[in-house]
Amino acid sequence: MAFIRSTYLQLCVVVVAALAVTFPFAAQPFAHDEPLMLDFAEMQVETPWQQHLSDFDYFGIHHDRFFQTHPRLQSLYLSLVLRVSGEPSEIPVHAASAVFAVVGGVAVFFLGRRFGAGGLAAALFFLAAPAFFVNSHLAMVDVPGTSLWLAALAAFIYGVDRDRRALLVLAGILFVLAEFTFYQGLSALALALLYLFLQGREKLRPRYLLPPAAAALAFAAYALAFMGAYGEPPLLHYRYGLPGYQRSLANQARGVLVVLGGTVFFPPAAMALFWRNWRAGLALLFSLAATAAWSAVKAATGAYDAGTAILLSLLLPAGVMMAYLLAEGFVVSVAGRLRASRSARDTVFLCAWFFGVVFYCIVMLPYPAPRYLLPAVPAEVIFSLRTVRGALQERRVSLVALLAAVLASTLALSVALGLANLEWARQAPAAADWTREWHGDAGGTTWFDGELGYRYYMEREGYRMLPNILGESRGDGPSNWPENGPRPGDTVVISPLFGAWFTVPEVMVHLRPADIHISRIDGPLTVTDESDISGWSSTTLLPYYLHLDGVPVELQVMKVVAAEGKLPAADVEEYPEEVARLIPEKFIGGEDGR
Amino acid sequence: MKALALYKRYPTGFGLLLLVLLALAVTLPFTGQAIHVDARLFIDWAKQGIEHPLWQHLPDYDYFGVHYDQFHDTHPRLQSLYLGLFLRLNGGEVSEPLLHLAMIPFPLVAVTSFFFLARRFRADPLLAGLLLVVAPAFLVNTHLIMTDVPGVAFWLAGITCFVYGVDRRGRLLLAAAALFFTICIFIYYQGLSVLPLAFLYLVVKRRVSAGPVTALALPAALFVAYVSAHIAYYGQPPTFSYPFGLPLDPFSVLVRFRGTLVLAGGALVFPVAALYIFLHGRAVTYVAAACGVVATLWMAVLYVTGVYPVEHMIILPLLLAAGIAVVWWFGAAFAGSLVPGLAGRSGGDRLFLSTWFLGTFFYCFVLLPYPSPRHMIPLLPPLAIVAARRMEELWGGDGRRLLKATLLVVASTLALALAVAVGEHLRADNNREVARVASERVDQLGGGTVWFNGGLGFQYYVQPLGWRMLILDSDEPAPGDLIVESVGNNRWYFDWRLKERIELVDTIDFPRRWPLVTEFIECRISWLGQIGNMVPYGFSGDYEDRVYIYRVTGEQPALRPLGSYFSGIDKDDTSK
Repeated sequence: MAFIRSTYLQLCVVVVAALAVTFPFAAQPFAHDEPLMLDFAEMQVETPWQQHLSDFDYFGIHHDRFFQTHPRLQSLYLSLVLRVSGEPSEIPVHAASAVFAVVGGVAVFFLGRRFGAGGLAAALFFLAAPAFFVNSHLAMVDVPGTSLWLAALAAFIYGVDRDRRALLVLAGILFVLAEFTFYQGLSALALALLYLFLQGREKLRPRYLLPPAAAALAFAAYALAFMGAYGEPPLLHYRYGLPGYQRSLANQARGVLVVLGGTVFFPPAAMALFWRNWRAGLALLFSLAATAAWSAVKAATGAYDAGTAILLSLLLPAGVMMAYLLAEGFVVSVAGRLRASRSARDTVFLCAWFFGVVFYCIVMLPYPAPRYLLPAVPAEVIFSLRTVRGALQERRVSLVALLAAVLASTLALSVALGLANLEWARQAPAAADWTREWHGDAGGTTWFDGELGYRYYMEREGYRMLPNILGESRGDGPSNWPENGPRPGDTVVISPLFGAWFTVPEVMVHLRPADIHISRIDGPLTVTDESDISGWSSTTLLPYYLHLDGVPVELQVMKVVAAEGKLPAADVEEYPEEVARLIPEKFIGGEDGR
Repeated sequence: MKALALYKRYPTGFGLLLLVLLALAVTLPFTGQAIHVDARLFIDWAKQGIEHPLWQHLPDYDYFGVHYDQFHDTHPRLQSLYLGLFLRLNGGEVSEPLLHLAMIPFPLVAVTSFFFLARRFRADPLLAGLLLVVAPAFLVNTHLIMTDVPGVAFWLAGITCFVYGVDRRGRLLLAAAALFFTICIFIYYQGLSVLPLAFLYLVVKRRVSAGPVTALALPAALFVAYVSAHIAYYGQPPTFSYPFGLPLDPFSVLVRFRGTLVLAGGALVFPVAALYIFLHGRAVTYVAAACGVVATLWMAVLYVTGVYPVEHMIILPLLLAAGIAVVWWFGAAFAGSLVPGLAGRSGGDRLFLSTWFLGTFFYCFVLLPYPSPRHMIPLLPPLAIVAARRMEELWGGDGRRLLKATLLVVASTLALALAVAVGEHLRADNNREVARVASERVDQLGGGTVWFNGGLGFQYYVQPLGWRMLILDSDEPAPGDLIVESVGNNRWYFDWRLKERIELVDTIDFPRRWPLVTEFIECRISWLGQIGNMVPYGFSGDYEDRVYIYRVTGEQPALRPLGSYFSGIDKDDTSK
């Protein structure tokens, strides 16, 4: 038993688990925003400190200087990988990113131990959480940022508790790395200060304040340098809405709760885990009543299919229960003897951590997504584990059985979602292959309409990005328009699954349907809705869907013809408002388009 | 005395029997009453409920001169679904006696539940029950096909089961309470207020535990589900308040406060009896007297200037003083129950009953659109319990004295209630007569389309004649059309363009047949309730209803430049 309880052995288990959840997916095609990170990485091979991409087309819109809403540390790391591998390639890039999963797992191990949740259990639950599991297969900023965020916090807390200077220095470095990986990393500084405040006056000393203060100064210096170089502050948020952008805080809050309910634990297991008292039961009852009634009406009126209705009725109540349990813990701890009880202070810290992340996800981020909520997952895992351990401390067998069941079901869900995400990612190279095979020798130029992984693989085939009508409205005319725009005889391949956009009306009126290719993403679990970008990438309703028959994936092929037609008025009325108002009258015909 | 002996021997059986018989005696004679007040609306919902029981809207519906593509009412649909069953029984046809008979179980449920509730709160259940049954607000409304009495019936059934369930830790009773609360909430939204009230009972009894809380949570969760489903389907929550109308501005709230106070004094217990029972202590006596004097002077000035009739100088001060006495009593009880803490049973009970009364009183003047006796029925149970206990305090030493006092208070209140009930009954029946006489006159006059201006029972009886509702701000009527307007049925103003091209061709008065007047807006008398009313009943009024018949004469005016419409509008033109 002593051997099993040895820290080193447990850490070995965590490292092996972290590698086990990432390496099997190393060959996954690039998806989501990975191509964008690779674009930056390729640029940073030559100019490591440059913060923008020059003459870059994104979603069909040309940018003379394209800034992303993240700092450049992670793409700098990827640029080192590219220097070694020579060119972007899935396995080296993903394998190199696995190191962050290890860092995250180890950090949660120490945090879980410090907060009484059990280090090994906390780390395993964190690694098995769908939000972490699936995102750890992507070379994006979220897992690296969260891992460094957690490592910084762990080093800081241990440094403060044990008064170790080396750990405090390490924390300072990790804080800087976290905030330079993603801007959300700044929230770790506030959390560090809260930790000091909760420990009492004797901990509010300069030596403890120095790591977060140094990290804050480093960020201020970066921001000033950025302004000096570009005349504007770093891009902290999107300049415009995205497809599926949440239009109200209520929708955003609902989405965040749904993501929490569905991507931290297996939802029914989460309900069992959180049903610690009758008040949590009431939270479940109310949220279940509201969600089930809502979903039933939507299903009855055809707005939702049965799978969506069922999943929403599971995920949202699980999220509400989770939030309720933390809120209750916070209130009880604050109302209790905060100063006298370390446990109460820890509870307040964990709840503030959780709700802080939830708050900024609702208010500051453009849409809910599992990757944005990653920093809240450890707080939730640790809080749940210590609550359950407290409740079942007299019944060890029940505790172990419950935790094993929750972990196993959560891992099963994660694996299923990982495979679903893999299936989704594979659609991009498959689309490029199909286009090459069936329309590769059609003559003229081939244009593609879609982003993310689809763009990456279509560009590798030498195809060109179709201009977006929204580019003109912002004065950012696409680089290939109008001088080098589509010409008669060209082919356009449109992928709704990857966020296709409306092209400029001058092109639209020359497009004639030529071919359609329909494949399927296998069910029953998918990370996208019907041929729609929403899902795991941007959770407008659910992070994943239950489609027993899978999801049809369309590729629409259009030919550019010389003859000019008009757009049917009825069709234009159905376009999104921001698109319809950009189409001049001269391009709009009668009911039949004449 | 024999009855008293029987009651002492069989307190539950005899008491309940007596109350049920009395409730039947004051409702059955009115089952032939015509469709009155908002009953028309509930019948329309019931008709639609036969076809579309889940719909929460009426498509293409005209309501008080406004056309709605989708009309949403400020009540949920349970009671109209219940009425729909009776329409179905009658082959889809409306039968006034059948629908009134369908409403009879509700007062019986209310009275039976209240009997046990009063006993729990240590009031004589028979005496308290009598005060409930004969209260004008309750008795008159038992004759209406509306939601107020059914709602209160299940409110009482729910809270009674809940209180006993909590006291005796009875799961079945708690389950019954959950069921009755749910029914209450789905009859009218005011029913939601019973949930915090029941929770307060748990708090004062220190019994906040899973069972009772679940009994409250289930109806609340079902209501949340209903709201959620409503938003999912309609994209908006249910209509909790009128889409038009009365802002929460301080003056409007003050006017409603005055109206609610007057009704508390005049629609719950006979006002003189209310004064005798509740006017206790020097401070409230001074306040009531001062308000009475001010009201008398105010009415005197308005009488001298010819605005109001002379009896307002007596009725308004009396009702206002009685209302102040009642509300003051509960205010003092509330404050008193907070000070010594909640240790004793009576302190907790006092806090519970006074919160019930004051909470309902509060939402009556703050949240509801206008003061009306039917809105105030939930005030009655705590009032009847406290009044019964107070009467026992005042006259309980000697059984005969209490009996005499009971007879006096109950008889005077019953007399007032029946007088109002008969007045309203005649007003309701008058709607049939108005429709008959007006249609004969319209036939004599001849012409094109007949339009009507007036709602409630009048609308119910003229709509089958094929007449069309005059729509607000509509200039649609063509030359030769007739417009029939009922003064006594909430008519609305004419469009200003239409007003320029109509001429009055006839006025028909329907004379008063009962000395007690329950609706005469010119004198600010209204039992139904109006913002800014003065008294719920009086003795002045020239007619039961007056009907104006207009003929549309001129052509619709040609369109003028937009600016001329704005410059040409006389602001007073919109108020009739």
